[in-house]
Amino acid sequence: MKSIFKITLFLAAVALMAVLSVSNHIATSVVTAATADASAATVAPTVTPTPLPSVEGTLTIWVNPERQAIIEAAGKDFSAKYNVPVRVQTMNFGDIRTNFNIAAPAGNGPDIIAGANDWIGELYSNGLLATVDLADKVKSFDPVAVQAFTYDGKTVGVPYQVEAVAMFYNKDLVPTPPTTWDETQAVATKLQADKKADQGFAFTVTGELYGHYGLLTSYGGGVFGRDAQGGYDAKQVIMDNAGSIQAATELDKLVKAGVLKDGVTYDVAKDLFLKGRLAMWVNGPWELDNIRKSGINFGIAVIPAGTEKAHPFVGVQGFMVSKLSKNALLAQAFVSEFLATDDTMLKLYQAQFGVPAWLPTRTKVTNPDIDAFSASIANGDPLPGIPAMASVWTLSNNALNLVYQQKAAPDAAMKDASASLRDLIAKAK
Amino acid sequence: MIRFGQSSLRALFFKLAILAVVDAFAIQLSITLGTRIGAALGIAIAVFTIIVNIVFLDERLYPWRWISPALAGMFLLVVYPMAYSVTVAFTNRGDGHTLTKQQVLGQWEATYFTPDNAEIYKAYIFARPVADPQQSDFRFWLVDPDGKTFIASSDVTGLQAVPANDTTYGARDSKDVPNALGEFVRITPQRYSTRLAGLTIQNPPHLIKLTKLLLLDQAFQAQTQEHVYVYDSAKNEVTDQQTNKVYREERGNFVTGTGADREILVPGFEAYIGFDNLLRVVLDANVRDPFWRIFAWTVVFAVSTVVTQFALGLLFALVLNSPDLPLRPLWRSLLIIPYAVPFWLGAEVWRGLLNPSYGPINLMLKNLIGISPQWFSDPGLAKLMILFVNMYLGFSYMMLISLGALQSIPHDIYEAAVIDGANDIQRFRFMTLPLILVAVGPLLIASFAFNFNNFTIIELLNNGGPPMSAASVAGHTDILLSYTYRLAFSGAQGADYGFAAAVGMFIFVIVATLTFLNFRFTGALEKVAENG
Amino acid sequence: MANANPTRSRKTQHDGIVVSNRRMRSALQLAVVILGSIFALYPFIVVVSASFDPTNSLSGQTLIPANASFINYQKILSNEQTPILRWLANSLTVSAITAIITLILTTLAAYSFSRFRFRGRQASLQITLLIQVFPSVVGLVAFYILLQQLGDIIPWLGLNSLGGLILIYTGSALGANAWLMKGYFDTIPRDLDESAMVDGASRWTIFVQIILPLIRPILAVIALLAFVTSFNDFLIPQVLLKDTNVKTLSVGLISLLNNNFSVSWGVFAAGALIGTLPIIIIFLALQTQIVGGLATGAVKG
Repeated sequence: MKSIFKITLFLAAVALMAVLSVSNHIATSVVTAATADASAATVAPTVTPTPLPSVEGTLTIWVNPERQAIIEAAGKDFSAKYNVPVRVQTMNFGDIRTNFNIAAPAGNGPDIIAGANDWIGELYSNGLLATVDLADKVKSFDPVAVQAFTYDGKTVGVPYQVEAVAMFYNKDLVPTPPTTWDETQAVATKLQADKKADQGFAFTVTGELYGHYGLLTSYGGGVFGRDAQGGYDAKQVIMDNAGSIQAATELDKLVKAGVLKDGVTYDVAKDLFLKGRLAMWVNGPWELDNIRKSGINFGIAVIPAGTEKAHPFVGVQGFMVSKLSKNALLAQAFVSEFLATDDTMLKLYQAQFGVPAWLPTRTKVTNPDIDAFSASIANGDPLPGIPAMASVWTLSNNALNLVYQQKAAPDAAMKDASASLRDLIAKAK
Repeated sequence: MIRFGQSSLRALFFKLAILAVVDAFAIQLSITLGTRIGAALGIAIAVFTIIVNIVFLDERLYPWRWISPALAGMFLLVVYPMAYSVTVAFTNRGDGHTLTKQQVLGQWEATYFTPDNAEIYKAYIFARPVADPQQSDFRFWLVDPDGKTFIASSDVTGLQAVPANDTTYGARDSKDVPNALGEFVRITPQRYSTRLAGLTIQNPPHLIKLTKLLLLDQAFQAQTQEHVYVYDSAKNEVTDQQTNKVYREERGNFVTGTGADREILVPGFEAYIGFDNLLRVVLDANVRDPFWRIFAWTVVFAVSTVVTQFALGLLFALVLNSPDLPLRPLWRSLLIIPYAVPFWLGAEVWRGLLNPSYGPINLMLKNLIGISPQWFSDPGLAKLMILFVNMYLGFSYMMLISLGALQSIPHDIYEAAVIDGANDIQRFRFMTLPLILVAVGPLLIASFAFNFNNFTIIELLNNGGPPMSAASVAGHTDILLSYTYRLAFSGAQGADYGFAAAVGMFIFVIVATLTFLNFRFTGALEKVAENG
Repeated sequence: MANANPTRSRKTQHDGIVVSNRRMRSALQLAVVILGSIFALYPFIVVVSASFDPTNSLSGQTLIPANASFINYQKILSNEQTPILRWLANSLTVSAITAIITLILTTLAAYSFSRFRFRGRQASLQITLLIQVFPSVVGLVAFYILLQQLGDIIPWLGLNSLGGLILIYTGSALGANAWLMKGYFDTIPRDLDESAMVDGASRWTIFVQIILPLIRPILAVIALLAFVTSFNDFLIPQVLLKDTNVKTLSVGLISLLNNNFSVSWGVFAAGALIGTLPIIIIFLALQTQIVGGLATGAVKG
């Protein structure tokens, strides 16, 4: 008897709570809708037609912290002009890609991400990138930059900045920059022997392909061969061709000569250069500001040549639109119509120094440093945007590190890495 | 016999009310998660809710009432993710296969191409102002390149031409676009871009779609469009209308042709691939060969970490416990600091301090004894370095628990030992140590399990380096979990969650077995039984 | 506390030992703790020094900064992109709530494990521990999807919310903690419960009014362990939290350091110090309780 009473009471309570919670749920959604309307109304309508309350339409953009301020400012301009709220979320550069890959398929991604052109292969083959129609504006972009954001014949991003590493050198230690690796070794060895510098020369990050690619290509090496259209061909791994091996041997020579050292991490190299204890440093435009502030008497030269000119990697920064965006056409209009204008591109340049991909801006700015980096870019190879890049980085970094650490012969290291890479690419097909 | 809960009427009401709230929530959770993530999860939540109800209503299950809140959390947030990972291990989820088949088919259905001689219009948007904006419907004012104008809507087939001199629609703006079409008023289109893009104007034999938002004009570009792909659900085939190629489904891709002619439609989607991932762990030489080496190091790492941390911690605890030591609180406070400093901070600092070329420790060693150990590139030294740093990060915790254990050792035992004439070392070896080991045993085992999966320390200190060889992603200091991470996120196709989950299953089985054996070995399980 | 006077009883036990031996031992002990303290403090001092050193590089700094200044503190506190105090508040909130919920769940479960004999008891105890060893990296995708869907029902438990993070942490509340706590409960005589029950008190009343006050030391320990674990974690929040304002301290600070191309070691050190000082203070303030709690809990485990 008692238990029946208990169970009835209980069921009644459950039913009541279920009803309450469901109606509460509806109530909340109404409230949310209402507040959304209210917030939309506070944004003053600036266009002639009567704006109806917002239904969809808040642009969400993911950027790395360094770009937050610029994009937020651009977003404010856009909101003011077109009555669309823009939300900027920041996360680490690399996290943007990782998080986007998880969030977008789950329907929770942003509308737009800021990123590098080497992501496009992975993101596009995941079905996450929408194509972008640059229309006539394509003529105003550096063709290399547009090419870098082209995958499978489709444009999948709006470039805004082009970057490549060049060689910073301390003019007080190195009056004229060396133009070949042999000269570099001689200059560096002498500086170190005379105790004028702790370190004569350093790549961007010890053992990372990105900074060393110029060395590889200066002997005719590289990572991938090209197909008929001039794009990279994942089937042709050339990390162990004669040029690449010669380059690795040269690297080995530099390590043995005591010019290159293991453990020269980015912050070690930076500290040394800024104190005038590192004479030559292969690095990109992002460090210009710090170097200028330090008061070092510096110059910028192209990366030394081997048997031919060095072709550094050219990375292109740009904006990509999510294919799963809930504001697809709006997001595309934002990147292709609003960002790709003289005004916005100039502001992007002013906020963060770099070689503009937008030619009208590039011609407008007169800056010797821009010219110096442009020279490096002119020789450059675009960063490959093919999905296999993830393994390229890991394996090539392993190979280079083993050379630095003197744990593997240069030719064996390059051959091992290449064989493994070919194997992985073949299996993925 | 212990009497279980006694219930007054008020307590009963209270209990039922809480239960009802929980149930209402669980029902909602079950329905929502069940429909959105998977029926299995929904059903599991429902079943679990029913069990909880039974537990709370049946007096015989009284002890479970205390445990069920924790079990519910564990079920949803530990067991479910585990089960989920197990299912993922049988799929090819990862780069190239992140979307579901439905999502991919949806993308293809929304893929259009512009046929030759396509008409291009500029489209201005009008909407009927209604109370619920979700319900609003739209009219389009189309202007073709010659300036001819039309009215169109997604529910009416064909375009309705509007003569140039028409005055039906009243005042027009500077671009000669009316401000209203009857009760439909002109709107700013950008906020509706997706819904508008989803609409189709039927204009046989073609479709007209909005293809581009023209921000400056506050209008869209509309174009004649045709579907690129047609999906035949009966045959499960996709036909490309432009090339007439027919694609069949194969392991999460639609493909056509064979051999050299084989073509894949991008993107692919998640599909079940059976035991391939699990087999790869065993059969793929690139994966398998480093696996056992890494496994061995993982065990060495976990055991040595516990041993070194515990040894150092115990040493300090013994000293701190000595009554002769002056300023004991001071020393204890200082020795606790490594535990209070977050380990990521500790790891970062040590990485800098040990830098082989420019770190202060190596500079000092070089000046004093002329050596400069390569902490990061020599496999043996790298392992030592990691154990050393990990010892730094963990000895304080071990010191704390040892101190606790020491304090609770009954002193009459010692007194008896003194009478028996045991010396210090004997007392430590035969009394203190065993007593402490018994006391902290379960914590040491927990620490072993934690370090077995201590991904963060490995990643932060040396990324698993130095590399074993240029041919593999494995490094000398990689533990199983960091190796999994590297395999899963630096494959030829980028991320491979399916494979990561498969390796994760292996790791789980291994570490669970080891932990279990540890318990057997140390007798901790028997102790539970005794107490119980 | 039962063992509050180990010193006195130990003294009597040492009385018979030779004095010179004792002096040597004392010196040895002092040497051990001094060396240990240097070892323990060295990295910490480096961080403190770096935070006042404008050099901004670990390799470049000297132990006593040449021209010490507060510039790094100014930099991190004034930068809108690094709301460090907000991150600290987030971390403290998450860790504190996690600790409280963990405490509640664990205490209830451990009480049952200690006081009742029922079928499935041993199995449950073993399973709670085994399940803990599941590698969380592998579960991340599942966490993500789960929270995302949950967020649609209850926004403050969704992705990018501190609530969601707390939920994930409390899900794994059991495990080693339950064992530790159960051990402690076992030390409290059962006669206590039973005599109270004879007096007519309900289980719940006994638990709240008699048992809880007795287990305060272990409560402090469990709370602290839970607090530290969630305060230190950065793998899970890194994936779940995206807005600058909801980041926890670990995610925020590590993102500062990981921006390879704008490394500013001194600024990071200043931030880390601001962020970790409260924890260090908590630790130092609670150390007696921690040791006391572990004393009884661990031994009878």
